Amino acid sequence: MVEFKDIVKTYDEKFQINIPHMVLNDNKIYGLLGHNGAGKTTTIRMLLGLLKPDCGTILIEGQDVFKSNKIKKDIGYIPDVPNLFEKLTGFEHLNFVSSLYGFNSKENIQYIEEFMELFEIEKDKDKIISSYSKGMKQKISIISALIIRPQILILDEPFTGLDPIAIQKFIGFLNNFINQEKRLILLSTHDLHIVDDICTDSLIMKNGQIISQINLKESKKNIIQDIFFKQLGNSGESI
Amino acid sequence: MKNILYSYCKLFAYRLNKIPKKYRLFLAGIICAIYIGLFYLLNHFVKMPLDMMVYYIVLFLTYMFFIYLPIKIYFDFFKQKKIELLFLSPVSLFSCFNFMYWKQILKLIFFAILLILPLLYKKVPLFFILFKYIPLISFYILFLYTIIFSVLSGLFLIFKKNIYQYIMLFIGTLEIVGFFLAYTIYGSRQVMGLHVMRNNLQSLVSKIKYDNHLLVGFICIDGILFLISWILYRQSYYKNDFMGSTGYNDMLSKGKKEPLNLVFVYKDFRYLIRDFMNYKYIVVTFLIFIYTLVYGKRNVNFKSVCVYLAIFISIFSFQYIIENVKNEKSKMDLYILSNMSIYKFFKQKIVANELFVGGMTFVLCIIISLLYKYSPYKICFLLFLSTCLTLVMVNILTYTVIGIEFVLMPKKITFNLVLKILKESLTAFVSLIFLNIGIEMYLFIGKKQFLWIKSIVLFLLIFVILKYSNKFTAKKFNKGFEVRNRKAENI
Repeated sequence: MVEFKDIVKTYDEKFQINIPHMVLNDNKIYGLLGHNGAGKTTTIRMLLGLLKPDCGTILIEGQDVFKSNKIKKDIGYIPDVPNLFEKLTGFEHLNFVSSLYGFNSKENIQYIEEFMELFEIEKDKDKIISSYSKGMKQKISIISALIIRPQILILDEPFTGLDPIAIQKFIGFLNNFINQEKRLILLSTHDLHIVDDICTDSLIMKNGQIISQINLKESKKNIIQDIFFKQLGNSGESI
Repeated sequence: MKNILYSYCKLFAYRLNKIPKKYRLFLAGIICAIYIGLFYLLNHFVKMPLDMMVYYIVLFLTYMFFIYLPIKIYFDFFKQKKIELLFLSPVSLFSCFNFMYWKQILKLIFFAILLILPLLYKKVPLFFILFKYIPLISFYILFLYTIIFSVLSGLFLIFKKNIYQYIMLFIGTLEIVGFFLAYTIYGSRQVMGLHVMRNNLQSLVSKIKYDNHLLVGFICIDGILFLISWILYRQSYYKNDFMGSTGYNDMLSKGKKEPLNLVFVYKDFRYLIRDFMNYKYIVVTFLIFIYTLVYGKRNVNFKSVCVYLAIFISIFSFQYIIENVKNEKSKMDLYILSNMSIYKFFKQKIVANELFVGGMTFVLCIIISLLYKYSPYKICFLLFLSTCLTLVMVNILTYTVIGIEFVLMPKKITFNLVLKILKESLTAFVSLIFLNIGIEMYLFIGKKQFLWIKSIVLFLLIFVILKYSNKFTAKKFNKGFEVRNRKAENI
């Protein structure tokens, strides 16, 4: 469970992220939506402990994310732009990341290789990351987040650059992942269809604030599109 | 910290195991051969006194600490976001910082040891002298560690956002201040609050008198270090230029193609700031040369000044042209779209480079002339020499760099990598040759009469050849360029 308490983060005295109280429960996939610059990535970075809010706390399983390093072990993060050690090979990078999280057994290498096979990059595992295509880098970024066996997955535009087959496989993985005990996914995306298909709940952000939280499972199909355009003040029919 | 260390060790072991045994032996053989060669060269050709050698080594280390370290830390931490990768794992921010910092220090020490090692052959006392200065070097490490850590943390706390530019400015200032500080300390000049360092070096410094050897030696070390730091800087910096695009985008957004003026591109103050960041080292080099000149004026004769000027032009052209052409690479597609021929592009680049390098050299010449109160004849000669050399250097370098960057580089990815390495090595190697020629000329100029006349004749000859070969080379490049474009169209 993730809990935001009185979070305020101000930028340039003009833009402010303000989340007075918000709870994200286990076994749910939250779709975080909003226009460009609404504050989605900033919120995610605060949740990860990479950016400190001006005030307030973020609790993950009751522990403050800015005070406890151990809690980070349970969080897997896929950034919007892959952040990788470009000079390492794909396999080296994944092996290095899993070692950082304390996974050092031989079984772990097998685990990495299984993921590489799943995303069809096992042939390129010994190539340097800087020579990878955009999609391949994204795949490595996704695998890095998955091999650490996280309980919470935070995904910031994870489908960028992926081919349709990889997207399908990844969505399949996410559906399996959420069915396990105490798992949570926060997915930031602009693709409303994906949110409609896989998310259980949606969070819509506007100017740094969560303006609506909707349970999608109890709502009718494609409702998110109507709500999204209505909430953000654009019918989506013009142009 | 333990986790990161373990992961790095594991990675290193994995990489080592990946290299086949025969290649490992081959590599070891090459390293041994290089070292044996270096032992031989150093012990047969280097006749420098031992204390002088120690002096340069300590100077080198200090300088490396001042320049390499802040740059590397900046890029690893903020630019390449390596720290973010580590910090996402269950380790503290301080552990990340600590690890990254000491990793750089160890790398630096390792690099220094590699350089010092060949000197130890037959010169065992050198080792003891160096050993004596370990406390001093440790002091530098701690000193820098404290400064960098506190200033970066302070900036981070104060500004929170837009910190990159402040860090850039901070590092730039630190490097400039660092250089002058190091120079002042080793120049046995008293600096408040730094008496600890000064006392440690007092015995050594008392043996060394400020002379021409020092001047040349200093310029050499300066040049080498600038090249090393510059290569490092450039490779990391241009991966993702956060300062944004240039004025060319503005032109396109207006919907009309204005004639490209490659000399004056500063439409906005931001671009000037951006280019100052890019050409920071060049500015520093210029300042260093003036500084060195001011302090060396009583000891340097006219012929040495000519050589000094030649060294300046060589280093300066290298730094400026490679940086400048590299900047243009990202905008190459725009040039193609604007129907600008490669020949015109060459021409404009060469003129721009000649103007800039020539302008800076002219300023230096004037300063020299004023400082040394030269006769009009000498001033004219100095200007003539610098103009010739500037033209030669700019022509050679612009063609070489443009050729590599625009024609050869885009051919194949694997080939590209090899070329990239070759290009970097070549840059360092050629500049070293220039520096060596400079020293040789400097050391023997007093003995051999009319050498300068021969040099000028040679420069003129190269200049004439270059000017006539302009069109021919441009045509060749143009052809290569067309082939590349056709291939791209086919794809």
